[in-house]
Amino acid sequence: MKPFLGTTMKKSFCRLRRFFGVERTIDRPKNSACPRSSRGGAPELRQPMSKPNNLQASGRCLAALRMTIIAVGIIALGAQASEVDQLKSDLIGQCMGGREKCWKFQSRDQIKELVIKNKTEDSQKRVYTIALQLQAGPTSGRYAAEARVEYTKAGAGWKIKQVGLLSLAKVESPAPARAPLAPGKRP
Amino acid sequence: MMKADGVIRALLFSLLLIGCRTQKQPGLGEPLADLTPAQRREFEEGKQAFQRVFEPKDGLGPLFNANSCAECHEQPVVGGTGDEVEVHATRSVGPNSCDPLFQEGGPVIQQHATPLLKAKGIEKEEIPPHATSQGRRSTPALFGFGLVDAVPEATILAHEGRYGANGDGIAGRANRTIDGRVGRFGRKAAVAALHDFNAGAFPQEMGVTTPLSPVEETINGTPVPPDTDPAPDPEISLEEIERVTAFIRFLAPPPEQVFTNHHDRHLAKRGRRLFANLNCAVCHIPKLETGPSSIQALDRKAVALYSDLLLHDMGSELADICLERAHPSEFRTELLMGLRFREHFLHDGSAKTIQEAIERHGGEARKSRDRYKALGDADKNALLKFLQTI
Repeated sequence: MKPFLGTTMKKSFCRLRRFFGVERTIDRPKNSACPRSSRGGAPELRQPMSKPNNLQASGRCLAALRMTIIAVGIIALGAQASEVDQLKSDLIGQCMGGREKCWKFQSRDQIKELVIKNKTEDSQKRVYTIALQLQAGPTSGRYAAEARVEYTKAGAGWKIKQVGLLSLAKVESPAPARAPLAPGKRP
Repeated sequence: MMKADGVIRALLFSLLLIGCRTQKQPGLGEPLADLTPAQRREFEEGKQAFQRVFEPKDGLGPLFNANSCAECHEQPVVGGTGDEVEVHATRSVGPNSCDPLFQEGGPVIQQHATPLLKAKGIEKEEIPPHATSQGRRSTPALFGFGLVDAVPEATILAHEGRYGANGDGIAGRANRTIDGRVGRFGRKAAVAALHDFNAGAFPQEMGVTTPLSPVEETINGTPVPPDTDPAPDPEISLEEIERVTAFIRFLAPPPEQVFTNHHDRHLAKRGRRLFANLNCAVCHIPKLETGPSSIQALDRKAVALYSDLLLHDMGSELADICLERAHPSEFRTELLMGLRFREHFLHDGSAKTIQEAIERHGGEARKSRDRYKALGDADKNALLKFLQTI
């Protein structure tokens, strides 16, 4: 019968455990599922220790700190991503500006980039200042815009009220499209 | 029995005809027929908003072209044309790209300043330093613009390029707004919808900020000095834009002129035929139909706009600015609706008579112009008589 975790997954799991200091190379229990490895784990943790108990405690603190920092980072990034996603969805159908200097958001594809620059909120109103890179289609010009997006409280949630165009400029030389990253590579 | 039946039928038919004849066409400046009482109220309220005169304390300026919508759109009635001529400027970037110079204060160059800005030594906006061309624009009459707004994009696109085969080299193409919609308003058809047109008029023509444009227009890219704009932004509400839009949306097209004497009527009829024979009607399409609308007055109505709403090359002599996809020599076919009420002609108001305007057509219209020039006086008079009915 095949083990529950595949070999690759098991290795990755072990590397993670080592990285977070949950299992250190030097005091790895004999019955550990993780094989001994020269890689993985912080180098100092691979040195012999004179006071294993104290070090064990400080290692756990360090591990907890690392996990907390990473978790907070992931949560913040996730929240930002979902907020950007929500903004993109809410912008569809909205108009900002007027005459030649007017943008009606017709699809998410037109929003090449959206960055939240500022956010304020009280009990009734939420206001974002966002920077946008906009392009209607592959043969259209690219525009850099800044906008003010206002939401009002609607029941338990928020409803988009209006979008104000703060600035708009045609981007002369749009940045070339980034090549997709190879799997496993970090930007 | 059969005879009586026939008489009754004839009577009913006559009554129907009388009914049709007596249905009053809205006069100039009046609202469309078939409006509900609520829509009529919107029209009247919008007319008030359209005539609102802004002062600096209400948000006028610091840079502006006019202090009220009705300052320009005033002749012969509110919503009509005017004698103001604006300056626009853009930058051509290569053969097929145009920069409207938003970041330098273009494309509309404001010609006036409030006293607070004048005190700083600024009298008006200058042509942006990177502009490659400038043009002048007369005030268009707004009659029937609600019907023009209701013409489906598909109807405009259906006429694109279809005239290439007639041997005259006439081939229109739609302009697109920066966000990719089909343009129809403005002399270069760079504005897609009536609402966008009005929403932009407040900041660009009057220097009045709105929730959609909550910051003042710059002075050639430089923000206005803070102590020159006493009114808090935005200076009007979305509702005020909606009111003005309702007024224009429900403003009826000019009534067709019907000559009462036989001679003029006959002459105009002959002129109408010439208008078609000279291929004027290829671009100045007499009628387009609006699409389905929840507003009965706009629902599947024919609008006699005399335009295909497409861009055509008008020749190098009329060329001025580029705008979106429109090249400097390309202009949207001018709407002839209400032509008889105008005193100046062409996009910049530089032609003093209709004849001069026809004779200055070039580019795709060159062959039609040459045929017009070759006409005898009687035919030219007939054509002009027809144009007096529009």
